Amino acid sequence: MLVSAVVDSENPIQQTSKQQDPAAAEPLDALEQLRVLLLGAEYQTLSDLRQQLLDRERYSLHVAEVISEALALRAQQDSSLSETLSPTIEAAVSRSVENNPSRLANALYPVMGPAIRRSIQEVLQQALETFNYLLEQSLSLRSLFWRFDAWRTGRSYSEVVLLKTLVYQVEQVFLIHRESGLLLQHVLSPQAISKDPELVSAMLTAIQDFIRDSFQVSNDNNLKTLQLDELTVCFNQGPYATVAAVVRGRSPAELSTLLTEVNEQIHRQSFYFLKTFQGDTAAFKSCLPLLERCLKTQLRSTKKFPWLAILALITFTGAGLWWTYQYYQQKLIATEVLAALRAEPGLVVLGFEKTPDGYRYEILQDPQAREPAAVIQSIQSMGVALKLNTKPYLSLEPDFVLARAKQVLQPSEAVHLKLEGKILKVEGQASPHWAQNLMQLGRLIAGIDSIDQSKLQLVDTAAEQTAKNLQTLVTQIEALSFNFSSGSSLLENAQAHAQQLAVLSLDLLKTARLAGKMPQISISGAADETGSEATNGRLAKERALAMRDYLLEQGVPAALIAVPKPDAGRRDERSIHYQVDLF
Amino acid sequence: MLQKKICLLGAFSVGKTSLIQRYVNKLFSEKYLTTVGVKIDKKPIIVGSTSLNLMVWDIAGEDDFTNIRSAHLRGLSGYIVVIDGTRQNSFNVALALHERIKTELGEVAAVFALNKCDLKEHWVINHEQIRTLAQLGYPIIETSAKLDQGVEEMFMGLARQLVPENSEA
Ligand SMILES: Nc1nc2c(ncn2[C@@H]2O[C@H](COP(=O)(O)OP(=O)(O)O)[C@@H](O)[C@H]2O)c(=O)[nH]1
Ligand SMILES: [Mg+2]
Repeated sequence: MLVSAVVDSENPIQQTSKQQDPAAAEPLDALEQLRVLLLGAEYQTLSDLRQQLLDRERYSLHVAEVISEALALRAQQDSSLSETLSPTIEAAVSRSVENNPSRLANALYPVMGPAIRRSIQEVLQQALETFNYLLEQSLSLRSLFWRFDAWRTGRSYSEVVLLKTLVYQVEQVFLIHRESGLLLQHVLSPQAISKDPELVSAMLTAIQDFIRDSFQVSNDNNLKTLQLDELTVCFNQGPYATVAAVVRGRSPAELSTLLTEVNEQIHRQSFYFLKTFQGDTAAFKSCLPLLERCLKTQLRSTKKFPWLAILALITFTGAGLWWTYQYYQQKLIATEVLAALRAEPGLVVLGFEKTPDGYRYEILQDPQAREPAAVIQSIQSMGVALKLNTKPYLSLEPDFVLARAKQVLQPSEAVHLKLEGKILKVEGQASPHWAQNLMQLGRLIAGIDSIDQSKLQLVDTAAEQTAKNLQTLVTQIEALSFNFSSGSSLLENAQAHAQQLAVLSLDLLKTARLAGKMPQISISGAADETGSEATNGRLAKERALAMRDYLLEQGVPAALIAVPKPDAGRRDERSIHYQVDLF
Repeated sequence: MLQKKICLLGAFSVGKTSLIQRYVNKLFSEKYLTTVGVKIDKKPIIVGSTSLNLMVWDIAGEDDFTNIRSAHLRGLSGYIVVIDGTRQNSFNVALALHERIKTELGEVAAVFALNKCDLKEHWVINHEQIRTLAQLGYPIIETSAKLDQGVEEMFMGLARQLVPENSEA
């Protein structure tokens, strides 16, 4: 020791003298020799070691050999290594990210993905559970009872819910300095209330001492739990600090393990501060996250499958899908209706729009067209309200022009109408009267400019018909006769006869006028052979006159009737006959 | 925020409980004393620029000072020994207690309180005894829990010793 000190102090002097004066090498060697003599091989080792320390490369080699062991040893002793290294490591990491971000990203990739997925899963799970819980609470009959209970006991509703649904809740956690009972840190769950935790902490310690002393247990035996009806205080005693958790509800077995772990970690982390604690609690702020880990709550319903929430979700999704389906279905129907209406001749769709429960169509309808409602009848409306507002219009489509013409002109079957451009071609046979109508009305029909009736044959069918009718009437009247009783000109039961004649004669008058003629009905009476010639002649005359009077009475116009001289043509009858003449 | 555990010690009925009651905000009722044997109160106090929480332990006990549980004395930062000026015995108990704590805990902060100073005409403690006390090197404060005299000073006298000197303004 002494020698090396001497060496150290001498050396600089020697070196300076060596540089100044080469002749002085003599005494130096002598000194060297003396050293070698005195220390022998040891001197060699020493100077070798010294050389190693001074030579950067060799020194590094030596340190390299032990550096990991040294680090491991130090890490076992205390946490100073991580404290010292963490700024360096942090700087190194941020430097690495700055230089080449993808390298760190690649390295982290295998852990990041799962971690992110898991945290998302957890968040979703939690959200679902909370949602379910709220739903359950707000829906169930149970919640009504709880409200009643809250009202009855004067507690807040949330407190009652918590009590009833709680398996357990760690309300507060104390970190207590074991020796003095002073409170090092304290955490409290959001719902819980705490009286002066510093006092509680001290008192908890005093109570432990009290129990230990009162029941004479050995000093190593520590109080594990204090239990009240629904409240438990769990203790974990470490060498320097006690962790005490106040649990409401059934305290779970795993809590004591958790408290042990937490307390051990606190001892590891804050060992120095615990050992030298003098009443300053600021150093224990770092224990808060650990203590907060113990603030656990378990609700009764958490394990349940969230039926209600799932059901609600399904309902919402179902409703959404149904709505979408309806929407597209409606649209489909609307377009189908539109297509049908557009395809229908004589209908013009001006526009359509959405109404709250369906669609409204504005339509122009030709009087000849089908009703729009009938057009869309075949389309299933599926509850979509389809409102069709129509306004009349005239279509100039050839079909409609033709149809209109037919409606206006009412042609007989013998007439054929055809449309060529705007010319109405009329073919076939028609009465002059109809032809006259055609010329008058035809040009007023929308869509028709002129009429071509060059191929129309005029046939006066009406006059023919009248003549025929007239002939029938004449035959009918002339077939009538009325019989008197023998020698009498009295009309007995003549009413039916007279009326029949009255009807026929009026008809005759009308029909004859149509044909431009004037009819006359001659009444001729007759007598049988029984009387004298003169009597018979008179009787026939009387009979004819009686009938004439009676007919006039029945309303037959006087101008129609004439009574000619009795003719002797019919001798064997007591009757009246008629003869019709047309002038 | 500094926290310190302190303790009031002394013979039976010297006025420990009465002194604490004068001083602190209470959380626990007095019945703790008889049931658990200990009652703890908190007194926030400011010394210079340091705020301090005194956790004041009141220990119930017979006149026999050996009855005091060591457990209660652990972690103590300071104590107040209360003497009843009207009772000779309380002086002896006080000295013995002081002696015991010194051996058990080593040197800690302490204050001697001469209580019941409102009854000074009945005091049996003489000047000689007080001088002996003074030689121990701790503050001696005359107090009366009844008239609320010297109580604040008594606690303050202890608190001052508990705060590191450099932080005392
Ligand atoms: N006159 C007077 N009586 C006191 C005073 N302090 C306490 N006492 C009385 O002394 C008795 C014992 O007091 P207590 O506080 O219970 O003493 P402890 O046993 O030391 O806690 C009670 O009757 C108090 O009223 C004081 O300052 N003056
Ligand atoms: Mg008392």
